[in-house]
Amino acid sequence: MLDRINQLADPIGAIIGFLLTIMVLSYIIGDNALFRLAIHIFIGVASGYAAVLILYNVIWFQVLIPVIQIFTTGKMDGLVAYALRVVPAVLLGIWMLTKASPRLARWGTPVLAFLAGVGAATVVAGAVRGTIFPQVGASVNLLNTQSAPAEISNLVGWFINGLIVLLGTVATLIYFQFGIQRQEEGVPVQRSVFMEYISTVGQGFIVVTLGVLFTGVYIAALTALIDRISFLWETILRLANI
Amino acid sequence: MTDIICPLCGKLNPPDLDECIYCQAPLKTGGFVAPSEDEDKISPILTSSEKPGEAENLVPEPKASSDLEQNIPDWLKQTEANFLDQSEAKPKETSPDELSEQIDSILTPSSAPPNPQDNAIDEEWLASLLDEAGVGMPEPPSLQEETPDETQEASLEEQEPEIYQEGSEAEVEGAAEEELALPTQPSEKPEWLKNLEASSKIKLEGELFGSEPVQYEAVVNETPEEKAQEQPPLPEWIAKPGSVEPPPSPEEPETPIAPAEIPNWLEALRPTDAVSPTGPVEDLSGADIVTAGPLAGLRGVISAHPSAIRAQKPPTYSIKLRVSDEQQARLEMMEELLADEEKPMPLPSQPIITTRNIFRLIVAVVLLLPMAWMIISGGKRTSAPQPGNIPGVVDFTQRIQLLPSGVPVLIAFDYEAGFSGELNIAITNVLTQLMNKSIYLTLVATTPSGPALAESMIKNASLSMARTPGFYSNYANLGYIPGGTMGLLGLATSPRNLLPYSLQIESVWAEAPLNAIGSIKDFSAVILITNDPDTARIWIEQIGPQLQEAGTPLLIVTSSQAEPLIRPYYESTPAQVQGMIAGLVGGVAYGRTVGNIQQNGIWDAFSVGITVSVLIILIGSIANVVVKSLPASKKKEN
Amino acid sequence: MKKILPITNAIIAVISGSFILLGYFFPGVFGGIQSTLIGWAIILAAFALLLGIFNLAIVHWKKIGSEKSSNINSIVLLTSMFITIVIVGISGPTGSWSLWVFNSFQVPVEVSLLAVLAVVLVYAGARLLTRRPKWYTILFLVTVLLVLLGSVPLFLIGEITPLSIVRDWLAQVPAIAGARGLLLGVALGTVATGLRILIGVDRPYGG
Repeated sequence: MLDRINQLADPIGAIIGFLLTIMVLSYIIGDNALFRLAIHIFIGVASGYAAVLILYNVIWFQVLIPVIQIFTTGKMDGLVAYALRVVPAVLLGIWMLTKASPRLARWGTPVLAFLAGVGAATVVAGAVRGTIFPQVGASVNLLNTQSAPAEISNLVGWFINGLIVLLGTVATLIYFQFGIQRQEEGVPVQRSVFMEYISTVGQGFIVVTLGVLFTGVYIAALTALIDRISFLWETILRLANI
Repeated sequence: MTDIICPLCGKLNPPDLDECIYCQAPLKTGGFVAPSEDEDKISPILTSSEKPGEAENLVPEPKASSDLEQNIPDWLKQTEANFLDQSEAKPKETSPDELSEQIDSILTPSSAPPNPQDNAIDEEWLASLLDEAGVGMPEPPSLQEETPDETQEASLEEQEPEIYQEGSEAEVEGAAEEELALPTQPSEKPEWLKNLEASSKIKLEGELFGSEPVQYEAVVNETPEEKAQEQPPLPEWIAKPGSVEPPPSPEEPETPIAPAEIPNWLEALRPTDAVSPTGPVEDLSGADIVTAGPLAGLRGVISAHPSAIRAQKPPTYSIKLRVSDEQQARLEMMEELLADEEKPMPLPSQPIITTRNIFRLIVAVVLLLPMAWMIISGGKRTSAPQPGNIPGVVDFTQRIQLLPSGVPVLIAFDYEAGFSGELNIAITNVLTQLMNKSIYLTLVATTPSGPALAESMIKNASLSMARTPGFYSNYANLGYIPGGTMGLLGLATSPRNLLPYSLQIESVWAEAPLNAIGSIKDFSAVILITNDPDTARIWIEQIGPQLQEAGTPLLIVTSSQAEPLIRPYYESTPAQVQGMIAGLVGGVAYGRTVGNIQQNGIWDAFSVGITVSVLIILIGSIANVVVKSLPASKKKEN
Repeated sequence: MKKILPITNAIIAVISGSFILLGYFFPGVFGGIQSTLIGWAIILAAFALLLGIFNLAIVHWKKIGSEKSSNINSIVLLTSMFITIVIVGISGPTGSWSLWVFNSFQVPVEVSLLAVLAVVLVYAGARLLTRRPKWYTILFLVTVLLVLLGSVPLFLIGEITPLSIVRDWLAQVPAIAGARGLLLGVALGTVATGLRILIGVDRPYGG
């Protein structure tokens, strides 16, 4: 019986996938009940899987199994480290559950404040260490002669490209209006004419980047569409062979 | 018990008495009582000493009880009897109208000649009063040239206003009572009289009541004759009828008050167009007559009797609006409108067959049909891209090839299941290469769907290698890392504490090769599979610095949509990303390097799809420009 | 209490963030505290995710009780969630049945959603010039067409070398310039926002 179920699992799964694919692709002709039904099934499955995964990975593996092992093996040397690492977090997590109640939501704010503080510090440090310093250094090193090609024919191209990248980066940053002094209310923010020209150039670089991004998104979507067509055809063939 | 002060003479009396021992005024009445039939006979002195015009303001005498009647001296009774004989016969039960008439009659002496004897008695009493007051006896009425009524009226008009305008009702009553009493004892002046004198504005000619106080004695056992003989002298203004105008008789009409002479300066202030001021005309004939209290007999005034003035509960008025049927119908309509506003209106179901949906369907059909044909036919018409032309593929390939066999490599499956179609080719080729090297695959994920995708891809790669899904077991799926950025920082610093077990509940950190891993930089390589540029950025920011310190390569397999934003990290100097495979193009190119070229027509379908897409965009843009320019050209022609 | 609680929240955020930053600068002294706080935050993030899923279930549960016609979708959602929890809980996150549920339900829907996006995007690209075009609209359209034409050999035409060169140049030079500017701008904004939270000016956690 179990083997039979295992044998039928794949075809049944394929049929389910086939139907769900058709239901979602029906959105091409407009929003409809089949599309919404498929979306709700997807949300239910995804959230259920995520809930079990968290219970496994965090609650079971990090909270319960270590304490069970400590008490079963009798090795109490890890108890202090475990208590310091896990117990306060569990208590804070239970405290945070007060956020579920509108009446008690206010009392769960300190936990969120802790999360916000830790998250903000992590992000700040990462942005400074991982993006600002390296990318500024990369912009500076664009015209580093040590990285210049040896051939003169390529040198001109290298220099022009480097200059364009450098000016484009600066112009893009200027377009984001960093450093504009706040004016009085009702007075439009005005910059000098030179800065306005540079800002327009930066806007052009951003438009090109967004165009490339749009193309990348479209290519990814087109690939997904090709994958669905391939899946539908393979499912038809499989069902036909059955 | 405290003594009671007589309201008439102001003297102290014992509390157990009902009448004043000095002037026989009632002490314990609850107010002013309307005079009974016995009290209708009021001394003419009382009437003569009052201004006719203010007869209504006169405080009537309190109702005499039987005891009071017994205490009334005989001379007073005689005097009253003589007066009443002269007046008209009054009925026993007097009405409020008749009371006022009685008062008027009291105030106005009768035209009948007085009884000489009575007049003698009166004159003697009045004379005594006047002597005490230092006024002198009034002339007998027969010696007067003027009519008694006229003289009395004149004198009254002159002298009464000063007395009765200033004094209170009690003082008026006290003055009246004093005149009726027997002032035999030259006692101190009563207080009310002093107050009256002090408040009077116009001094009279001589003092009505001199410094000699009028003394009263309680005469109880005296005979009426003795009482008559002991009558105090009359005040001068009473004793001299000529100086005092007698009050008008009830039959005679009241003489109007002569208007005062308006000074010139006041006359000048009068507005020229003003209507001559007239006195308030108020018809009081229909007004009720007060039956009790000090204002008994008066018309149109608020009675001061407590029984007359009773606090009544104000009438309650209904606050319900008078709404007509039409207004009620409009009100119901307004309520329905307001109720409908609160209800969430369901969105109108848009028709499926619309212009936009039709065009979109046409575009979808035009796009789908060629691609479906390519897939169905399974052709291989389009040449695969050259790996050298794709930036990052060559470096990626070299990094993989430089990995020693059996070393642990961390692979992060941080992409969404929707990008499986685009990334599966690249992932399968990468995993195949790693499996060929017996690399220990350590699988982690920062997205909830990552562990399932990782497990599926491992099985697919095993299936593609050895036709069995469970072929490759040299891996550990450590599961999901929550927290995003914070989770990656924890993975970088202490992966053992963060992921102590694999999803198969195995303690993988205790066994080789993971037992040598202390932090993430101990891995031979880190391969990140993601479709999101932000996820790639977070990995580069949190993990990259540690990997760069150790020289561990960070390789990224990404989608076409994230490649433009990851390229700066790859193109930087020093490079933060050492190798990159982007999208289907990169995956096919990498497959070409490892000798795995797709044969299922996907690349042809992709090529057709790109070509058709370009055509659709071009034709659509040109059509829009043409259609937009047509009305403008027609307008110009017109 | 109304004033004490917000100040306390801000102090908690500032102190916790300060310890994390100090762990970067002085790993020897504050590294342990940093690691401990990060461990707490990761477990709290898991609790937050569980709370979010629980809230989703409650919302749809209340929708079922509201007797509306659209509650059939909520019933389907809760039913699929419950069945998935049971199957994955019994089989394990990487069990065969869990993978069957994942590959049969979640993967097809997600891939199909992205596939629908392709039709929508090409339709939007065709209607890009419906409104009065401006210079950046035309530049955007030209960029899209050039990158598409140069990304893959065209059907029945083959690879057009000039187009490939232009496409490569566009992706490597101006796109990188713009992308680097975007990344630096995002990083600077992130630093500014994070510092505002760390000094207590911004309080996204409420209060």
